[in-house]
Amino acid sequence: MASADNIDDHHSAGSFPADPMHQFEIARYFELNIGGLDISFTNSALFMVISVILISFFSIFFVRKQALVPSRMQSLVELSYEFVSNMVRQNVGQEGKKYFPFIFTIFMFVLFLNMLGMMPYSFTVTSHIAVTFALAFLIFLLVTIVGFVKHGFGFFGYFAPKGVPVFMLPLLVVIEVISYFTRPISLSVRLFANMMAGHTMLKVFSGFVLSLGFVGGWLPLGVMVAFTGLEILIAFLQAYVFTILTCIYLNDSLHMH
Amino acid sequence: MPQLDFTTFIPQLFWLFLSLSFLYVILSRIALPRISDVIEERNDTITDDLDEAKALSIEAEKVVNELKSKLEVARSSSQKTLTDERQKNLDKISSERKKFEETISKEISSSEEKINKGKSEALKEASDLAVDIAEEIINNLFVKKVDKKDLNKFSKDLN
Repeated sequence: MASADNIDDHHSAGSFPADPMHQFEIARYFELNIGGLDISFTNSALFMVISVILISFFSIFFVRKQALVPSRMQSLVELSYEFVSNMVRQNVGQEGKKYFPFIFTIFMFVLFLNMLGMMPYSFTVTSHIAVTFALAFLIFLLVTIVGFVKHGFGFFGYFAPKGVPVFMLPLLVVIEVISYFTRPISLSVRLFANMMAGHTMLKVFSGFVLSLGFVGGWLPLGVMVAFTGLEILIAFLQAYVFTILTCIYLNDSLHMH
Repeated sequence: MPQLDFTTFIPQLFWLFLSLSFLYVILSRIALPRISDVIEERNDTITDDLDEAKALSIEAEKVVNELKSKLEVARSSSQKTLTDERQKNLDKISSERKKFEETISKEISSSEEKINKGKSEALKEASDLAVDIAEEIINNLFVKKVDKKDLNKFSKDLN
């Protein structure tokens, strides 16, 4: 794979055995350009495509028998379905059912991208702010549209909560507007920063394993094993947090405050 | 920091858009309806089975109750038959005994009568015989003839 070659390329350039930031570099496999738009197939694109294929396979192939008594894999698919379905029901309610496919797509996509990133020599798509911000902005846009479709101009009332003293309103409206418009930033930075920090830390410790050699390398190796477990947990947790915040934003749009 | 290399943004966003929309269509059109069908079907089956089990258990309870009441009826009827039969037998026994006692007492009284009659007859005969004997004796002993009438009178006085 090309990313493995890239690591070798880097050895000559960096002072550290492996530059911890090198793993985030975008590698172009095919240069593509349509109408001046650069749509080159990169390692990022490769892992997005892999995750789409895996999720599709996972959710279609294992449920192909539609068995009343499910096999293990069918059970796993149903489990993830029920997991997201419960999340939507508890945070958005009955009205959220319409948006379940979208939220399920977001959850599975982010989860698979995070988990694929945990594989050695793989690329973590969600460690790029461009991707996470685009996702968060898409959610922000959809949620805002849903709010305006449902409440019309009454949706502006979201920024002026009821039961607040009039003299407090100007201040509160400003705060509400800021907190509303920083949502895509907080949502995207949370995911991106978590993924980037975790993977950087793993790389630093793996660098220690190499630089301390056979005698001293065991301690950072042990730490790395533990951190890898923690990172897998974080990979799941961040997908969960991203999804549940999407649900909460959607609920705000549907039911106001 | 590779994340801030703006030249990579457009290809990333293009492939993100493409793969996300592709995934959304696949999941919402193909995968999710199937999964929800399976889950719904299973829930329906479970509900149906539970309903059926409930109905069956109610029926079973009904049958048990019916059986119990039948058993109760049979028990009470057999009890009744038993007491009736016993009463009948007791009545029969007592009437038989009564009849027997009556016969016995009748027989006793008739025997007593017979005995008494025999006794008085025997006594009378004995007294006649005694008079006859006394007449004979006296007639043989004494020259003077004794009138039988006097002797009779005498024997009566003795008695």
